[in-house]
Amino acid sequence: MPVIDIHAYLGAPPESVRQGNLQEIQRVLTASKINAALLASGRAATGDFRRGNEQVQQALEGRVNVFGLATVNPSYPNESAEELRRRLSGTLFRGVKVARASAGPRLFSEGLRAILNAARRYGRPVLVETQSEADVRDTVLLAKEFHALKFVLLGMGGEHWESAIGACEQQLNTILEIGSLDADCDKVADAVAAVGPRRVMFGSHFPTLHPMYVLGMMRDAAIEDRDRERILFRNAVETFELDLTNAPLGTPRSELGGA
Amino acid sequence: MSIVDAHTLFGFWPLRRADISPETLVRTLRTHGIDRALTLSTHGIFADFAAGNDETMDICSRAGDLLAPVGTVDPRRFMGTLDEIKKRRDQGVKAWRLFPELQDWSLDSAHADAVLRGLKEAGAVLMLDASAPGAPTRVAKRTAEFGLTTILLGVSGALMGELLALLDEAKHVLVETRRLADPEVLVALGRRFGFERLVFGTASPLQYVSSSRLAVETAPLADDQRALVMGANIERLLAEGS
Repeated sequence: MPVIDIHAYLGAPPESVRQGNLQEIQRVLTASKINAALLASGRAATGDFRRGNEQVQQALEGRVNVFGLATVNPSYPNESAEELRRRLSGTLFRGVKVARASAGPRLFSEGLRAILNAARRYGRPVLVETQSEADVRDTVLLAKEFHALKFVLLGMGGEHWESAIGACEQQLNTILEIGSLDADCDKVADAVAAVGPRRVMFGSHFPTLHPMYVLGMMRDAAIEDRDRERILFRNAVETFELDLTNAPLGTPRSELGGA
Repeated sequence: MSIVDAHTLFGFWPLRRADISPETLVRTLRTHGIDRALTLSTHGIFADFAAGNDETMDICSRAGDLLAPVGTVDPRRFMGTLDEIKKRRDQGVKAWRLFPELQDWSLDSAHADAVLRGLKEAGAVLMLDASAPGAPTRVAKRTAEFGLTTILLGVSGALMGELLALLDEAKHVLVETRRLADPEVLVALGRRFGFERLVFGTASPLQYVSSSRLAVETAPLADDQRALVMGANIERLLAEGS
């Protein structure tokens, strides 16, 4: 079964034993049988988001089956809007990433609303890290206001995943992404039962987590195989409008054979 | 290779909707090919430790070799805790858990003092949650005072720096692999401190087995190293005690 990872990092956090470079990502994700991935900058999550986005662009340009997520910072709405223009005008970046660490005390902020207002013209999904019940509520509030955008709740609220499922059930432009340290059984099946299999996705969060940790949740989840295929693959292709090849993720386009 | 899960439970889980009945526990273990599991009744956490320990002993005696008992006491009541420890020691209970994180008491309190001393006298192997930053250090220092062999539960890879600084000195401490969440973290810890310091646990059926299991299974370990982590370490500890 093909697998797309909708959220991994280029760059490792300070506490990690990992390097987080593209070679390591290729090696680990390929070994985990992941065919394609969307990468956000690890540096952008906690530091300079513009430099982080640039690193992602430099690393991924000209490669297949790897796509970028443009990180924004609500404390810098104008600069973030400029980043959206720079990154989302092309086809390499397929989504907007809001990192919790740099998003301020509340996700529902004037800064983020200004950024989302600018993001509307690109129509790309917005991936928001959600680690608490307040994060979930704020993201759903934003999804109501910006109803033309799709909002992916990364980590589906962490340990508050039940709240995330309940809050998203009626908000149809929200998607739950299952990756977090909270491997509570059976949150995947509960999510599918509440919001349907088309609104659940898989992200590894590598190198913060390991793909096998999150894939383990998918392996044990009491769901139908066709729903598993949707969560691991099809939903990502459709939501991010991915054009994939049969080559391993990150292969330089110049190395592809044929026409 | 014998697979022993050092961390399971059964009963009723009041903090969220979950099926952790004894039947589900046994089915989960069999589905995943786990040969043996340490377990305890959640009744002992949330209601009455003596009655909970009775339930634990009962299910373990009926499950043959599949389940081994984990005892618990609640220092908030204090009265009867030391007698309970002695009683269960005499019944052969070696593994113990305490739940300050769920029962809202401090490991640094006088009643905890008495319980920890009682557990040491019983030769207990103690398991304690250490998932929060700083918790591994606090638990290690506290249990070192009593010479208690202790397994840190729920430690994540994000606490790697704390573990690296701690484990050289805290020789009485082992780490549950469940939330390390990355084979590379497991390998790094094993190479530096020895694979005999790592213990496989899942918190099933409350949590997915495969999340914790795949990290150990896919780690680039020699067969004997993997066997230590997956079961031999906890078996040895239970045989030796504190």
